[in-house]
Amino acid sequence: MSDSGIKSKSDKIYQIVIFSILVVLAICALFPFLLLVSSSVTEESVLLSKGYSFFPRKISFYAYEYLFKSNATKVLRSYGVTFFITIVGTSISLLIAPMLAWPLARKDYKRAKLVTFLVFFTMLFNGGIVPSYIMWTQLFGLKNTIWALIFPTLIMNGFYVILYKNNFAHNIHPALVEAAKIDGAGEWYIYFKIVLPLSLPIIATIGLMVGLAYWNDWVNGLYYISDTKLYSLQQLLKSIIDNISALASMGSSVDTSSVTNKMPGSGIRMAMAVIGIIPIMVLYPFFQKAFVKGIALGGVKE
Amino acid sequence: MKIKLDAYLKSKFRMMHIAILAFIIILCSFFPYLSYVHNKKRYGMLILNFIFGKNVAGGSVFIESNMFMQMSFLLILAIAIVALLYNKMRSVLADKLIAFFAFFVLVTNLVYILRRNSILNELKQVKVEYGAVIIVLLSMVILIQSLYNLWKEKVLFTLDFLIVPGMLYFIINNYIPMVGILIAFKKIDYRVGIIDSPWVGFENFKVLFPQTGSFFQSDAFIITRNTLLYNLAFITLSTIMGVIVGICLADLFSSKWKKFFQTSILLPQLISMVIVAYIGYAFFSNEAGLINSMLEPENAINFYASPKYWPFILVFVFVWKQIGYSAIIFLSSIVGIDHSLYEAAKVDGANKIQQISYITLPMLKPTIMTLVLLQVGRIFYSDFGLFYQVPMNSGALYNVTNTIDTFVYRALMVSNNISTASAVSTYQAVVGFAIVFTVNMLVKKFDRENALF
Repeated sequence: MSDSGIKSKSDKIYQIVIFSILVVLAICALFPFLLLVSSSVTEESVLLSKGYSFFPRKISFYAYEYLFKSNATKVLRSYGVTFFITIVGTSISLLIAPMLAWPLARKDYKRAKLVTFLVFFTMLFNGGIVPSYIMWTQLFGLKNTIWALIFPTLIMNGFYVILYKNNFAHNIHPALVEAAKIDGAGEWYIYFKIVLPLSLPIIATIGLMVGLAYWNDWVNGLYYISDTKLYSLQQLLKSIIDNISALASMGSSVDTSSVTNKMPGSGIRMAMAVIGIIPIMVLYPFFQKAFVKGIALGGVKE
Repeated sequence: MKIKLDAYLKSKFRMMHIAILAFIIILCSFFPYLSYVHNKKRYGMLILNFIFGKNVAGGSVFIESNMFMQMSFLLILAIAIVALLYNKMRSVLADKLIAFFAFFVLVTNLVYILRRNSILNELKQVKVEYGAVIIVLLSMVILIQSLYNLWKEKVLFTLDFLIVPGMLYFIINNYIPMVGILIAFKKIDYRVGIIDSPWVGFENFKVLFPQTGSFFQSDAFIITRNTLLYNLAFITLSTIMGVIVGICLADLFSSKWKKFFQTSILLPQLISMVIVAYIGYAFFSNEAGLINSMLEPENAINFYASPKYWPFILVFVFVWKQIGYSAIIFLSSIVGIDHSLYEAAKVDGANKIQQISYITLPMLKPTIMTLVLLQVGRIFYSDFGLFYQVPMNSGALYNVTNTIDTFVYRALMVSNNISTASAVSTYQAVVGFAIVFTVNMLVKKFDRENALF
């Protein structure tokens, strides 16, 4: 409707009203982030006396200095774990999920109906976390291994497979498959050389959603990881907000109370949060389009 | 050599090699399968020990005879017999039998090897020996050969192989745990294993209800009430707000500002609940929190110990995080509305409010229905992070922050109470499924178009 232009007075009032609604919402969305950033660069003594604020009263980068001087290895290590699980997990997902969806989109595949039902049923019913936890720990022995951050739950879900399937059914014409078959192409060739290259947009979109889920995941860590060496970034963040002394005690057996007293706790917490957000904020402009598209897919049904 | 191989594959002995492989596996019963350390010496255990049972570790540990290993042994014999009778049977049937048996043997042995430490937990340093490796490899070869035969016979298609990795993941990640809800009816004893633990009926569910006192004080009631009421508030508010913001974004005149607003209200959707907890901490903490530093010190509020604020905080946080998501979904379906409808309405003199209520909202109805249905379908589930991490797992707040998911987590991981945890998670799975099913049936009855399945 935006191209119709503003003509009457009531239209103008309408524009002002919706603009102000959006301004209020944008402030609500953005200011908490401002609060984190500004508090992270405020001097600790000011934080203790005046509290966190939207604009730094006295600038100091001591919190960052502290984090990167004496705790660089912990922070970088958790970054490494998070990068590893995001890349490996997303790759596995992109390898197997579209491969499962493609036959389901084929009209000439006679088992498509049964398998589609099996995929769909996983969205309706699940056994819950207790059997999963017992299976992954007792049967597969994933406890305190990096695979525990990759395999449980996150690789793919029925919803993504249905999205791929609908996309394939709409975009890949059966005549194309027929033509390729007449030319002597096998099913593997058709899938890897024709279907995948034609479906890059949907693969990028869903890959982004899966990647974000891996980047932001901390629940798998909470259940399966107690070894601090395997902490992902989110789990490190979680342990620090729960207990600031976790940062100091991690990996050392020194009495922590003396260390904690010297630590600029209030500032460090906020600096940690900023460090946790930065990579996503930096990349956001690049993946924004795919992200919006991925969300919009959520409202489309068959 | 090539010609001889061809001749072999066409001869009536063409499955002899499968029979030979099966006999090699049977021979493996006399090779060490697992080994353990006792008195600083390493001892091997044969498959036969698992089949018939044996005293090991100087007679101090008795290995029970294992039903699955007996089955697996018999199935290998069966494979050998089928392979020998191959040209006397319908070859499709023979290949199906061999494939099925080999799959079972492979899975049993893999499970046994993976679980070796919990099965033999009284023995030290249990290691996999070459016997086990040979069995796994050879049964894999037999399986692949029979699947290839079935593919040649056009019983299996190449497309079947494409779905294998994905379905394997769903079977492991989703279907095996579904069978696992049965452990809610067992008294789990790790020493005898899950399969051999005794059945206790609904015993595990009893602890949820107090023997004395009011039902309304029970855990079962509180977690169900919290989960349902919060979800109702979330669904209502996020839908209404989402529609409003979606309309605002669609109608905004300046496309530059539109992009800015869209980008900024989506930011909260990008971050994890842990970061949300940090933001909450920045607002609510006692020492340096924004709100408490604006209040007079004597009026300071200890948020993390005052339950009365949390229903509002949690609903606000949910809507704050979710609104961008719903708004984008509604925006994308508003953009799809036929433009000429609005033009016609304008010619007829309809103002903005009338356009919204007579065109936009009716056209949005299917999207609203779909979204609400999807959320109602998950009404028995809650965002674990929102209810666990944002209130900082504060015990004083449990009455208003404990939901089914947080309860299960605490029962399983904190109090190590598997029976209660599995009882509640089974309750969630079963009632949750009943709700999706009922809601979908009702929708189907009144409004076929909008049903989920």
